Amino acid sequence: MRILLFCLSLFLATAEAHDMSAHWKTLHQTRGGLATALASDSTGALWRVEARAGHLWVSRSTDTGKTFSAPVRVNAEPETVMAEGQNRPQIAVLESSGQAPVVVVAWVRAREKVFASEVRFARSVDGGVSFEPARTLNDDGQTDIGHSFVALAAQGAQLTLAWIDARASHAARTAAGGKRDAYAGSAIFVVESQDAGASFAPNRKLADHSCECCQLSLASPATGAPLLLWRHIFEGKFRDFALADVSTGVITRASSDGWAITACPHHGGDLAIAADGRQHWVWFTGAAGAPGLHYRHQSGNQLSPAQAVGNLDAQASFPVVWAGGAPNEVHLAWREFSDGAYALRTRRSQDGGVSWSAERTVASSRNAADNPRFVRAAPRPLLAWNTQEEGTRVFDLGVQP
Amino acid sequence: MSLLRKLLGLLVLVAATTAFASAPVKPFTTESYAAILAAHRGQPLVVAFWSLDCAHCPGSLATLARFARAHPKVSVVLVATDTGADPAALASHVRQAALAQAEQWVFADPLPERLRLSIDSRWWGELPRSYLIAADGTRSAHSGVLDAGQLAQWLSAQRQP
Repeated sequence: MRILLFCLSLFLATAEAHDMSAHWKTLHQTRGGLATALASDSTGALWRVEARAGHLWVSRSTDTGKTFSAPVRVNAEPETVMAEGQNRPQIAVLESSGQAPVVVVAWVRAREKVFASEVRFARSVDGGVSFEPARTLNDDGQTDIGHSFVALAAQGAQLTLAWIDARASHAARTAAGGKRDAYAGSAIFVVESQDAGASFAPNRKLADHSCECCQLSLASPATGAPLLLWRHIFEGKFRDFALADVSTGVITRASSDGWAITACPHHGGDLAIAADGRQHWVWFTGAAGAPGLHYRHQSGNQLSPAQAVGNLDAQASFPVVWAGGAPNEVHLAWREFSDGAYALRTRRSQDGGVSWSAERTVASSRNAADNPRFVRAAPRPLLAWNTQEEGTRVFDLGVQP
Repeated sequence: MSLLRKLLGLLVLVAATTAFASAPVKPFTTESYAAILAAHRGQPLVVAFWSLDCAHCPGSLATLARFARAHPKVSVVLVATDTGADPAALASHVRQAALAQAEQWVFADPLPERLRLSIDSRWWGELPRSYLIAADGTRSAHSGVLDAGQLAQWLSAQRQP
């Protein structure tokens, strides 16, 4: 009985402190996990990764997303996988001459403490039949701080991953006696592999002072290092977008909205690079001057003006961009909400993003829905949208109605 | 084994009891915002939206807690945007932020846009998001961490004739 009472008092003393962390974990265990990712291989087969019951599952479609094979489990041991909204699993198929294709999957695992997470990685070298044991990619060994919002770029056997990493902000704040003001935002870390994920170089910091919880977007040009687009904190307060070559880390300002808020927008941008090297990107800002979705492009150092996209009063959000196919073909897609339903909206340019078609609705859904994503590495503008009622749907935006 | 099981059962029971000791967390639907305004009509009101996923929310709640203590006549309503979250855990978090007396709600819709449109079509989900509603019903929206000076200024502006 005495032991029992002792246990109870101990439990009561610690219960409050653990509640927030327990909430953090259960929140991610109970959420829908609707965030999926799809990638094409060179045969045109689509590979999909989805999160369910603590595991990542990979399945394959040979009919452009109409049907998928039985899923293969990626991680043997269940984990608290973060797979919704901005924190999304990633998938790519790495093909280099003379080597068997390698399927790589990256995701974020929530740890026990609130905001604590790790970047996880696993790959299949047998054509998706089985996956090697999952690895943690952040190499600081800190399990009580955040490493999340992982993005990925793949080309040949080269693999680049980037994520938002709290080690710099945590160290600066700890050194300042816990003062939050000691460091603005978080930091971007990058890791690279030259052998399709068999081994990785050490983690390196790309940039200080990123916004804390907006998805990152990595895109590869035809030659050279990938570019990263992320929401940065400029001058200590403006949460606008930054663009950098991951090999140099030199930041250019991708948007000059001047959104000065100490808040989490949970709303990242998206970047695509056309065969001619033109960079196209889309983003969201809540800045009072011109709130909403915007698009612009850049060739060399010629930067186009920002163009508004979507219906501001229908919560236009989560924009994505695709460039390729026919020369100068660009597609935008985003989500709107009106009359009790989500609408998947798109527009198309055939002159490299200078002029645009009217906006149109491709699909709708009346229940919970993921953000739309283009299929990675597909030779056509394949837009994937996962919704609770309809499951994964793939739309070929190159085929006009 | 049996003793251990009894002990665990008791612990769960105690955890549940302590967690539910605060005011209940009400489900927030498309009618709730209007209901909150109606219930607090004629008095200064702060409706603060927050989430556990939001890195800036704890700081904002702390500012709000200090303000609420200094100005007990101002109503404070907290709305967590974490649909599906355990109400007991939310209540506990708010208690830790020293806001246990505040009225608490939690989003109860798989489509958060539907709820946001019932509040303000020009709120895109960024958090923390707060609405300061004066006694005469005038509303001002604020995205980001609440500032003590800003709250004080808002309140004193209402006391001017």
